[in-house]
Amino acid sequence: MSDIDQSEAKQVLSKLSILLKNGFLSKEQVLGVLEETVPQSSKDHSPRTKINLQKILYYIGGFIVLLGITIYFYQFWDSMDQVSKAILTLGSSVSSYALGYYFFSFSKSRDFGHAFLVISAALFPLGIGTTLDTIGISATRSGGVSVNSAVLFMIFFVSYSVLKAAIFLPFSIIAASTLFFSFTNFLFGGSVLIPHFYEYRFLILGATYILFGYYFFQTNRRFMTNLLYVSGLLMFLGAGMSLQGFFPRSDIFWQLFYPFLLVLTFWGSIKLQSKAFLIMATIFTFGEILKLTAEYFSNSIGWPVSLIFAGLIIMGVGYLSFELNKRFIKKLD
Amino acid sequence: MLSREKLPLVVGIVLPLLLILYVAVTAYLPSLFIKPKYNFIYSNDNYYDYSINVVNGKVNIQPNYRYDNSVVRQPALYLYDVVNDKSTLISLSQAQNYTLDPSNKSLDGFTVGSRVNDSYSYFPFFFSGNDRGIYLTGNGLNRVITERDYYYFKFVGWILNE
Repeated sequence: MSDIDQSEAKQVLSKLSILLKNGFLSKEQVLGVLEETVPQSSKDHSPRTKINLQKILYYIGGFIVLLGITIYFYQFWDSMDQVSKAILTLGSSVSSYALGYYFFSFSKSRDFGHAFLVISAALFPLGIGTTLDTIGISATRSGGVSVNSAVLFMIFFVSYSVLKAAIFLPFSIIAASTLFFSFTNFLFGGSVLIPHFYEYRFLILGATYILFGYYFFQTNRRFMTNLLYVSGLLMFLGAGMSLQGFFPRSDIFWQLFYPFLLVLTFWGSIKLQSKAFLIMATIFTFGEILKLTAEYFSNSIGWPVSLIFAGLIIMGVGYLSFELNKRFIKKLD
Repeated sequence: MLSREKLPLVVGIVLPLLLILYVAVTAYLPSLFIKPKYNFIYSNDNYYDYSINVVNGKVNIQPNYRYDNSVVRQPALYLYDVVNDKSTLISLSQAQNYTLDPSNKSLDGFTVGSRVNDSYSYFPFFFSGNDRGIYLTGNGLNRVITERDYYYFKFVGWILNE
């Protein structure tokens, strides 16, 4: 390296350190750039593989611990009074959170801490729910579920923001989604009758997940993207399909509009370069073909002939989907 | 200033809030101005042992079997006050002071019963839109009457002489 290169490198490093200090850049962003530029051969032999195996073992261990705690609760549940139940469930969630926090704060035991944090995240709903029951708020009614979800969302989101533990991000989204459903049930469930309110809420929540997925795609939390795309499209296209109804009680607007949603999803797969979009669009197109066949053709031309036609169309859609992937998505991956 | 990168995040958060606002404005607020006129009488226990009928506009309770050794409690009757949204336990003689209409629908277009499930079973996550409880519904109103013992609920009749 020449002297000029050396001084330029020093300048870049000092700028980088200033940006990091002032919070304009995060450590993950820098690591992301490094990861992209490191040659493939050196990547393959990185310690990441080891850590992943270690992580898997931690999570398996964590799952077994969780299973043990659940069986333990189940065995003594009926014989315990309400206060003991609350102390036991909330106590075990808080203590596993404390352990997770402790181990997570050391870089060497970070993955181990992660496993305990996951256990605590799984136990908190039970702990808070039992506590609510103890203080006289029914944990299974929409009001109680709303309070439970709101508290969970606060715990998970604050943990995600403070600890920067990525595991709390999906948990925060799940808690917020539960809050959306339970709070709307609490607000409107006992006062107004809105036809297909569940479906419309799933439709909206699905769109929200897809938008969140796109947001995370642009940031350094890309691991969330496919998870959000798949669950979002499942809700969005599932709700759309459900809103069509069944013949003879089908909704003509949704029956005409739904194919456009499917085409939009195929278009989205190319635009976003997303296989999750392509797979979900293909699966729901298959579903729509089978649904329409069952509704309109099985009685007139009979089931066997309907199935032959449906099968041929599904093969055609499958081929188109495969071609889309090959020409527009795979090439750019 | 909202950055282009954060726009999907903001829109994603705003969408569910807009839905809540839309439902509140188009369905919830109008329901506050819907005023049912007719109170009604219902029972919510033990109608297997007794038949509760309205004969010539008066409530009539008859045992289904003859009991020799045991005394079976008569089903309790409740008067639901539609203005104050309140149920009051009343005796059979009190109930017989009222002239009742046993029709499913009141004269002003309301019905009482468990809520209809409008969701489909194949919906993702096997979600069901069925809510527990007995509701007073009609003209856009969906008011919960009782969530206790809803399984045994029996509507008796709308009160016509108040």
